[in-house]
Amino acid sequence: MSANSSAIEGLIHSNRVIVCCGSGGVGKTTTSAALAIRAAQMGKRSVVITIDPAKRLATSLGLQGLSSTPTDLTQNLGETVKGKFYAVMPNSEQTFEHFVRSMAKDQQNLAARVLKTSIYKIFTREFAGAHEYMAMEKLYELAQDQTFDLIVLDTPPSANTRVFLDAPNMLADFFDDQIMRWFVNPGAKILATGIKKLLEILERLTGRGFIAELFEFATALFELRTQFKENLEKVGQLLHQSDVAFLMVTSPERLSKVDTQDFVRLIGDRGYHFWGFVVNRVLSKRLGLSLESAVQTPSPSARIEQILATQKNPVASPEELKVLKESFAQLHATLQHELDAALFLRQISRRESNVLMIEEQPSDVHSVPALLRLCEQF
Amino acid sequence: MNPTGWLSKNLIFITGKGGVGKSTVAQACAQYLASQGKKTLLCHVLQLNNEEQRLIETAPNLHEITLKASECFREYIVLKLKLKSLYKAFLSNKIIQYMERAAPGVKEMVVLGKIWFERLNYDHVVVDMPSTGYALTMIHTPFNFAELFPGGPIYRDAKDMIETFGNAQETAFVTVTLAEEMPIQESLELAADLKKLLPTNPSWLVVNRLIRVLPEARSLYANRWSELSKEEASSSLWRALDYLIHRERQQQEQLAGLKESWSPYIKPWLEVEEASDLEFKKRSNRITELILPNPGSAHVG
Repeated sequence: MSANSSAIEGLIHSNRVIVCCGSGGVGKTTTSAALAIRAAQMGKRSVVITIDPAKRLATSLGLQGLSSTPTDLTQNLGETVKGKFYAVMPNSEQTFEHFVRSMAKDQQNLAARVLKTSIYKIFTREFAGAHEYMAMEKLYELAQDQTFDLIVLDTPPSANTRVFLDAPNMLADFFDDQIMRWFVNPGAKILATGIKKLLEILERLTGRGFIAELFEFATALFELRTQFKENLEKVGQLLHQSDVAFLMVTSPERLSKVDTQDFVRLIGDRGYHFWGFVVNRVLSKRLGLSLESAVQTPSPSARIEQILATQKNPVASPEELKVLKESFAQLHATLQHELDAALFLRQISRRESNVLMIEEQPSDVHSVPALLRLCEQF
Repeated sequence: MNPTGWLSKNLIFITGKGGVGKSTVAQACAQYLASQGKKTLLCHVLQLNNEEQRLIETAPNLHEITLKASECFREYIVLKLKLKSLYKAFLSNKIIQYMERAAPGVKEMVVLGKIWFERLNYDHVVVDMPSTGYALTMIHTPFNFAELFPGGPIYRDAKDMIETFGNAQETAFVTVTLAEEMPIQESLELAADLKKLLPTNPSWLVVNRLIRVLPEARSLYANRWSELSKEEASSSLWRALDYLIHRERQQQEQLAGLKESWSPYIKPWLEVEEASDLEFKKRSNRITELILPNPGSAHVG
């Protein structure tokens, strides 16, 4: 059993929820699915929640798309699976309208009032934090459902890792009680503090009629905030449980040290449980090179000499070797970068074994066999 | 048409998925322009923005700034309200602070506004934009504001910004991508979305980090790989060559597919080779060499 697989089995056995964070383009969706499939292979009933707008996971599994209720996909995986594997994709519409409607639940009349104001248009295209909120809501819903032993959350794609952790705060900021109260009933305050002047300035900047619209919008939204805050609190409690593990998915070329440090610190500050890193697309593994050897051989020529020293018989003629060395040198920067990334991650991770290095795959993972091959590395 | 035609524009927005090298390309582009004697400003627009905003001169003719939304907001208000007593009261007000913090679009609008304003002070403003999705949201903001506000200075600024961005003589949108399926897909989607917003100014494309297998290595692989012994084939040196050959082939397949998908954008794209240097500075120097109007490195797509 490899170091990877024992670490992963530990992760799967001791947690009910695994939250996969990471910036876009590092293979987060694939990793999340592979983790859930690995759990199913271990006999668990697992579900992956994914917001995968490109529907890549669905395609990999031979489906047109994924539904917003969990679909049993165990059969698609062949006979290797003892447990169950489900996948679910929360409605990925990121519009403000969708956000308001889902928040309002049985208070749709309130939602309608918010959506009647023209100011809401500014929110319609992309409302920061909405995706994250939907993902958390789905997570909460499935966590209540005893059908599942393990829930893997693939967090929505974002430019940096902290977005998922910041989303609730951002939204809570938006629903700032004190300020919103002021918007709802500004009359008294205007007289008391002379804010009339301020509104005049604002109106001068924004054009006539805008301020009135703003008040109307805020008033309608104000009544929705209670529901929203309740939901957020419940999710917050869930994420703090000791059987909820956060891990960061990354790849050597996309790794930002600043972003990573910031993320790990933030996880600690918020009192969540950080497990470790999954590092995808590791080239040295594909080439059969160990990281440890690279530490001692920082120059390309020294590294090549070292590779040659491990070979019992010559692998090429001297002329051929010259060409092979030149080609190998083309990858030197990538390999060094990878080493640097791995050492950095081991240093900030609590346990060395919780930095999983996953081999660069020969092709994009978008078929069931490719997914299962990836699982073998777990 | 020249694949580096975007270098002549006053305002150059550079975006792309994380990790494709957009900062390197932005740096290289700014470096190149400054080296040609053009007064250049390189703007970094980050989402994770804790640093202080300050302007520094990093090379002759080259200024760099990391934009911070709260600072841009302040500058904008000062610019619009002029009177110190007026803007001081305005900026210290809780409601205004709330709107700056929480109202969608305000941050994006003021940062974009700052960039737009600075174009008048420089020959070129090169913008290292956030990754594709957020970059699009940013470009959307003036449209939202122009639609939302019935009039007033913000409305007029938004309208003027849209005009500048839509003018192909003044502004260039450059997407940096890798020759890989997902980044290419995302770049095509971005280009299509931008075209909807600004139909008169289609995007430019830079395909970064292309692998070029040495010709002698290619023939060595063709002659020897299939008949290697197990021991030989498991050597890291042969595996490295095998990897390079595969990567190059995959990349070329992606480029072949791109040819068709890119046709609505008319413009040729620029291809940049993988740099074997590790350091950011050396990498960007290498790209600077490549974007020097040099027909050899350019590909007409």
